[in-house]
Amino acid sequence: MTEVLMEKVTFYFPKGPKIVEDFSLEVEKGEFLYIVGPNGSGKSTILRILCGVVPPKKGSVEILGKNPLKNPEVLKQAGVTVDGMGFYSELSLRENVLIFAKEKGMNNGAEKTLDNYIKIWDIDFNTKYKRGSHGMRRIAQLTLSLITDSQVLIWDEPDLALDEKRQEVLLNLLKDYKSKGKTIIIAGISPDFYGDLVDKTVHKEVIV
Amino acid sequence: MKILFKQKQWVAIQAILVILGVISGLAIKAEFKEPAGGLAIGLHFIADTHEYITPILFILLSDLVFNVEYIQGTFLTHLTCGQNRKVWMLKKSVSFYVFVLLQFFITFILVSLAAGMITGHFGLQGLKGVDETLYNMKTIELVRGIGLNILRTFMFVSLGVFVSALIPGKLVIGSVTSIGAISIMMMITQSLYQVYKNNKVMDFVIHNIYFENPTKFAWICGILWLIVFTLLSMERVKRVEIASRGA
Repeated sequence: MTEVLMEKVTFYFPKGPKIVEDFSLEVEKGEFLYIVGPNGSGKSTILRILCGVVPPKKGSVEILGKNPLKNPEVLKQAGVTVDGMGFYSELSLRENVLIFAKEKGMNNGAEKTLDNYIKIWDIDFNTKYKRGSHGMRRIAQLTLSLITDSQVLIWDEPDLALDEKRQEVLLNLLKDYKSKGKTIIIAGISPDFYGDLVDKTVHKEVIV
Repeated sequence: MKILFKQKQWVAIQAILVILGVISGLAIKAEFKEPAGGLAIGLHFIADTHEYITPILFILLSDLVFNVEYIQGTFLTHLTCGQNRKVWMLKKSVSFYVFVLLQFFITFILVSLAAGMITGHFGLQGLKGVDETLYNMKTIELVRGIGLNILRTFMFVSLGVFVSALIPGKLVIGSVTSIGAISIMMMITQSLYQVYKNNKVMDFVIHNIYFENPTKFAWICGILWLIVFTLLSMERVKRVEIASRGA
């Protein structure tokens, strides 16, 4: 069963060069897809198009059978961490995760589930977002994706800024996630880090 | 809502309001020999329909609705949580109007306290000297004046929110532009009113758009303005392009 579909997508910023051209991908339920490519090749843009926050100039996108541009509520079933996302700087990491989890429709059990993840990551979620390190902020965003029990994970370089211990935690969480038959899409520059977990790799090159 | 009260812009406005109270207290103290109470001075700022300082100051808070969220990257986070852009903006605007309503009464308290500390009186003493129009008003007229000032504040901030959403990522520019536009429009209207005093169109604008001597129709005009600019802001946010990099 196809869970994520991207067909002949083309994207460019106004008056800018083409970043994505006729790009297609298909991800089956339970698959782990890794999009690899050099810096500036448009990997992050592909993820943004995939979750409907950037409309493609051409082509179509579907997540769980729905176009996220027309049906943004489908993202409530996806865990998205893309470049440029932020949390409220004056609130703690904990408050932020709970606010956005509620927005995704998670009302009951959010605090308890979050506490479990806090133990796993072993970082202080009471730290204000503005005082958190790059790694702590990244972990909080990944946690938001995970606590809502998403069907699909769409992550942009999740291992970036994580120390060795947290990289290990990340791998374990992904293993567990995949074992439940859920779908994972990650973009980055280091597919080897995920080893056997990756089922399919797609190369995205810079358009000359 | 809780988040709005934690933003730096909100703190800055509170400081300005305290300064406004202090300056008003000093001015009244220098001008009148009779004692003037803080409440009398505070009441002038929220109930007198000829007083524009409060609604104009509140325009400076307009960035809190969209631009601050855009810059912090929280707008993008809301979208990735499955929010529809237009619905999100509507919810955010409604929550902001409630915040502005609360702020309106906070303004009354802050200005009254600050002015009272300067004049040495905190009650309604000297209202006749501070604002004779208010002094001669019945309670119901006073309540209507406060209501109209709240509506005018909503109108001004809804314009500010729309203009700031037109320039995503640029703080203050939208609100300052809105203040400038309103000030210029007011100057033009006042000048035209002086020239065409008996003109029906000018009469309509002064009474119904600026609420100088409000009629019942003024309420309808105010509510329509509020709805139009809220809808325009929603349409604008629907079209805002997410920059290649956010916060």
